[in-house]
Amino acid sequence: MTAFILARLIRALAVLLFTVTLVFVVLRLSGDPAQQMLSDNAGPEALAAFNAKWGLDRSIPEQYLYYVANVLHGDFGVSFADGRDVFTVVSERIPKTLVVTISAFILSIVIGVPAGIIAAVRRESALDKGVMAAAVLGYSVPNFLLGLVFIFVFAVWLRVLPSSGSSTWNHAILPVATFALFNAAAVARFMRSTLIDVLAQPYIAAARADGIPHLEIVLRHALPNAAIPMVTTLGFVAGGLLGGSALIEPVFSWPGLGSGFVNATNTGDLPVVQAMIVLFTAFMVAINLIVDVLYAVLNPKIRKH
Amino acid sequence: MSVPFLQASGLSKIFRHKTGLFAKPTNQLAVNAINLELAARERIGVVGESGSGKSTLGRLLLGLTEPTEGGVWFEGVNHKERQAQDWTAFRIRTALVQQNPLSALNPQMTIGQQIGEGLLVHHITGRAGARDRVASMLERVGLSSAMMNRYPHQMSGGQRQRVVIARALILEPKLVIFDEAVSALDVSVQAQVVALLRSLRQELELAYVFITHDLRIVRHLVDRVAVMYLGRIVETGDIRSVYEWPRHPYTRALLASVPSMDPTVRNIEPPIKGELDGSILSTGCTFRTRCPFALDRCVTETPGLRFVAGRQTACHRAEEFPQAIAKQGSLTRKDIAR
Repeated sequence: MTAFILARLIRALAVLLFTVTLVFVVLRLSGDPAQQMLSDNAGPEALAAFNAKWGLDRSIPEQYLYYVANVLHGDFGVSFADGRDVFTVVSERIPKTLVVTISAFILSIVIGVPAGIIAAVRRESALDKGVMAAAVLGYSVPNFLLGLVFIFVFAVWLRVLPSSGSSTWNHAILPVATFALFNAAAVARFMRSTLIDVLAQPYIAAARADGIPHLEIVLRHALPNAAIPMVTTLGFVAGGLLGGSALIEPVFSWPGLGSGFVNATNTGDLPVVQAMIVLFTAFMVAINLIVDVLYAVLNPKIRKH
Repeated sequence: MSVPFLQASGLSKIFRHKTGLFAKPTNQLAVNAINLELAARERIGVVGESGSGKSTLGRLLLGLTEPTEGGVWFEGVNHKERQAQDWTAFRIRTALVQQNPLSALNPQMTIGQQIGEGLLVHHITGRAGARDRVASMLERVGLSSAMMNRYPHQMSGGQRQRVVIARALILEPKLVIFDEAVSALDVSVQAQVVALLRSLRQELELAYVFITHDLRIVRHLVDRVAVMYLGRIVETGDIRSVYEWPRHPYTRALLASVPSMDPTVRNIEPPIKGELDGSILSTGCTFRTRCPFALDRCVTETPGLRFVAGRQTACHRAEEFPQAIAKQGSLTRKDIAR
């Protein structure tokens, strides 16, 4: 098991290094930052001065090594837009995004998992059909649209919640609700289908034939086996929440990583974009690592080897 | 009159399949008006092709599936009349052994936990007592008690099937349904498990229903046999009389399909054609579409089970079949009266 985790850790670091490299290459290919940042009528001297200032006049391999070394130190350079340290610019947005995504994640589990379990155990009942109808609805409405609907209903029409900003806890309610509803729907659907699969297994029939009470069958036999595919799915959900922040945060003007990423891309703020991509990748890799470790803990086939 | 140990009467199960949202559901008659009686300590084999309804019959007998019509009585009590606590008592007295021993075991629990679960759940023993019982049961089925802490994936197929048998027998049931219990195993492992079952049969006073498509195996394990075709019993009786002189063309074809160990023995039974046809025929014999001996009468008149030469068979022409289904040397189909 230690070897398993060590192997996953090494793989995670390799993925990170690969991403750092890819980001470097792709962004160098996407155009001359000096021309993007300065106005079109800037003279060659101004361009040269800009390139010299940001180290863009050196050879590409040199720039790469310099860049990797800096990244390892947590130094992503300085924002083109306002000259502030990229690390500061990005890190002040991290808690904002984490507050929304983690609350939404917990909420989608708290709602989605029990809903899926009830639907699976009471399969084909009115309760099941109701839960699944709600889940299909929640899942098929795009979450940014749901966000706009929420703003209209709660901020414009009922005037009970603020539509944008992040100054109070109330401001977090709508983004969290939007995110959580969409993902709770996905979690509920997957929980239901996974549990139905497990409940159809011969070992469940065997437990029934042995007279094991229904509740015990669900809790002791079915759920631990359903947990393994669920962990994988929850990993995807967590990743989707982070990625989705680029869609949801701008809707609510929530000053997190998502809206920061959109802004930086629009203004061509290369250092910020780079740092954001590396950070998002680091989050994803961390989520995957957690999934792998949980998977090993839950699955005796991996645990015992 | 004494109460029969296990009795099924007019037992039918129809599965409704919905192929699409607006499609008309199709009905599949998995078990069709079956009557069956089993005495305590009696062993019966249920034989048929896959799709003949034999597994559904097993699940109906254990009350794991509800019948569409008819009923099952165990020790005089209809399944339909059982309350929750009666069900628990019934489950303790009965057990199920399923086909694939890997999927029949919970991959997340050690085999000791799984075998002992019934003891703990039904408060028959405490934890320490359960450990002892599990250990001795493991040894009884030919495994080491040290295997208690293993997970199913750490065992071989034959070992897993022994575990499944141990789990079924730990509560000392009076009735066990073996549903293709050895079919998924290699022939050599099969032989070991059959030998185990035969030795357990001597020790334990249990009745069982052995469901299988393999006629060779059932011969050594049961007193009586019931041959199923499309949800019906087409022939049933003492294993020896049925095997020695089968009186139903389907039984004959099944027995003829078992390869002989003697290369000079030729199968003279005309082969049956096609595959199991599940479409419900309103009248006539369900086997007639594949039967080499079908007459006009088989289309119009449904043959019921009737006594012929010491067993029950559902064929209009039962008396006409010769004893032999195979003969030494070469013979042609002309040997059989058409």
